[in-house]
Amino acid sequence: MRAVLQFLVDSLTAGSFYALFALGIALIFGIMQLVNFAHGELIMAGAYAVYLTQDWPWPLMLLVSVGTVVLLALLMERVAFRPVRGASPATLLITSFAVSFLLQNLAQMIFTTLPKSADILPAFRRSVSVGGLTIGWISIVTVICTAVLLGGLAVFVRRTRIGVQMRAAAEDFGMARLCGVRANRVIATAFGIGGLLAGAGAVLLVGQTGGVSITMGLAPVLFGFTAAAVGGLGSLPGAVVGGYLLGIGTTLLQQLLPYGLAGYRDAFLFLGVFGLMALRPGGLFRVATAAERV
Amino acid sequence: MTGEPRRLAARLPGPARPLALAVGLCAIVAVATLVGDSGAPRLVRATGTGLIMLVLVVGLSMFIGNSGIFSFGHLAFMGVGAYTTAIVTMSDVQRRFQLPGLPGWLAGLHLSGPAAALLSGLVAMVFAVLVSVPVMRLSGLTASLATVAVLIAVHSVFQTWDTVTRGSAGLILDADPPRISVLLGWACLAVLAAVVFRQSRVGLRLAATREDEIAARALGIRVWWERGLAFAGSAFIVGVAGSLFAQYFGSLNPDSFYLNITFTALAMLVVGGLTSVSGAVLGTLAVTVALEGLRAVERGVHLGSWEVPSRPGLTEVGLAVLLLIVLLARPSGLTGGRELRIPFRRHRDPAATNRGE
Repeated sequence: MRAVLQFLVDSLTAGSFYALFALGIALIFGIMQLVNFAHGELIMAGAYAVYLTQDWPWPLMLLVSVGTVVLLALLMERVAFRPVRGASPATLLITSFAVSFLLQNLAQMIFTTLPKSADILPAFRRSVSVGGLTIGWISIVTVICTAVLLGGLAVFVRRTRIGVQMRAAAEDFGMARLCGVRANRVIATAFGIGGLLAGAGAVLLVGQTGGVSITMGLAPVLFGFTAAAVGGLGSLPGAVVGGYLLGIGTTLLQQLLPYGLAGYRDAFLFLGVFGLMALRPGGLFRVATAAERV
Repeated sequence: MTGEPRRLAARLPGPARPLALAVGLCAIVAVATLVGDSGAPRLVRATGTGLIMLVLVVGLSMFIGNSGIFSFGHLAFMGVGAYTTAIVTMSDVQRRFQLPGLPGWLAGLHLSGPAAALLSGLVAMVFAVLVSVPVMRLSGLTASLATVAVLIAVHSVFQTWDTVTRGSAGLILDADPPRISVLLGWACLAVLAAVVFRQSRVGLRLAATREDEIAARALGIRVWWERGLAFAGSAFIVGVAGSLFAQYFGSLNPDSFYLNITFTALAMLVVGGLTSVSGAVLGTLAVTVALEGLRAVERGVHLGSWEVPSRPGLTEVGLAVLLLIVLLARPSGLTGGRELRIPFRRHRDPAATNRGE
């Protein structure tokens, strides 16, 4: 029983991270068919912002870090992605790959490749025992923060004007524009929210690992986009479900794989993802506009 | 005046044009190799690297250029090729030392460089065929993402499968590296294969699916079959590139075949122009030259009394900026996606003649 509960807690924590990362990717993909590899570098930038401001009072640290990432996301959209908007998904993918590479190596020029440690809120690293279960505070904070952000986003896309416009744009971009939706504003908003999610994810990630490095954005973006693809690229509920499924998947593999095979966790995981893509190319939540109609 | 060249062109046998193109491209590569090979040791090394990258990029372009689907998984095939070569060309002493757990039937196996390259291409191709069965039925973007999953999974296996790959420590070869002329030979073979494939029936059908998949299907093109053939063929060439990598550098590890080199190769392809072999060749050449220039600056240079300090990461930043500029300003690449024209043969199409040009 305790093992099952511990398993649930672990999956929920990992799944929260993945859902957070996947959502940032799915949001932008839905509107402009862009698989944003550079989302990982937003997370990295957020982590470095945390590293630089770790001695400040925490609300300020949070504000500055998340703010930096949001600004960077908006800048990225304006400079790199706006000029190629409407190009084929493959071109967009390569563009985002280039942006990601650029930011990662700029970070290398500024901060070198040596990982840095950042100690934010030492209380994060303590844990509580509930009925024989050991739960780190960071897990609790992560799960709660993610739930709040997910809830907030759900309300945003349903209840606000710009949120509804975003959903319309994701449904049919051309039609939405004909109905008066401003393309620039909708896409910039999507990038802003993506930046917010990446910033929050960065703070939580640093809180969990305590380290900052130039390659730290890679794993989140790979898992995030995998989760988004599992859920059905472009579908927001799909990204969340995909994130939690991936969390359960990684935790399960971690526990079930015998010692000799434990190193192959990611190989099995991505093999599974590959299989799922082959069997169900549209993901679990198929997006209606995914296939071209003739 | 207009009639004579046309009649000459009509008399040329079919394959002459692609052959002329292949010869022209190989001549460009050979000249670049000669120039690079006569320079400082650093330049010679860069030339060797450039030739191996050329085999890789030409291999990539055979699939990506013709099908229009980006594959991120090809570096996995290159890795498979490189590890195959490392294992079959290693001396017994090294093999016992580095890979004591290797199955016994491999112990007596020793292949020469070219044989190892062919075997590597073959192994990479077989692996690619296994991967392609599900992937080639997917639509463009989903297929790209599935290949990313392949790359990650294979990288993870390279890192973990100690008995065959020695994990992240990598393998070291003790055979003599091939001469630059051998690399040049392989590069020319790859260019020839790519040019011939592009003009072949399957290649033209595949190009049709790239331009309009639905119309191509309506014309009775199976799509998955053409894509699969190109995927397998390009994996063979990329596997050979992996073998050359292992032989030339004498050492490899899982990170040799991961995102950095994927990025560099795709940048070369996009900078040159995706849809032509000329683009693959010129892109590789241009990016290799640019990278070498950036590396010189990165190490730090003295300009009179002004010293530019060394800046690790500058090369990659420069490459990324170059790629972004090309993507934003000239998305079809340096060649505009077309093949080079051979200047001495004035080929005119009848329509132009009729207009009185």
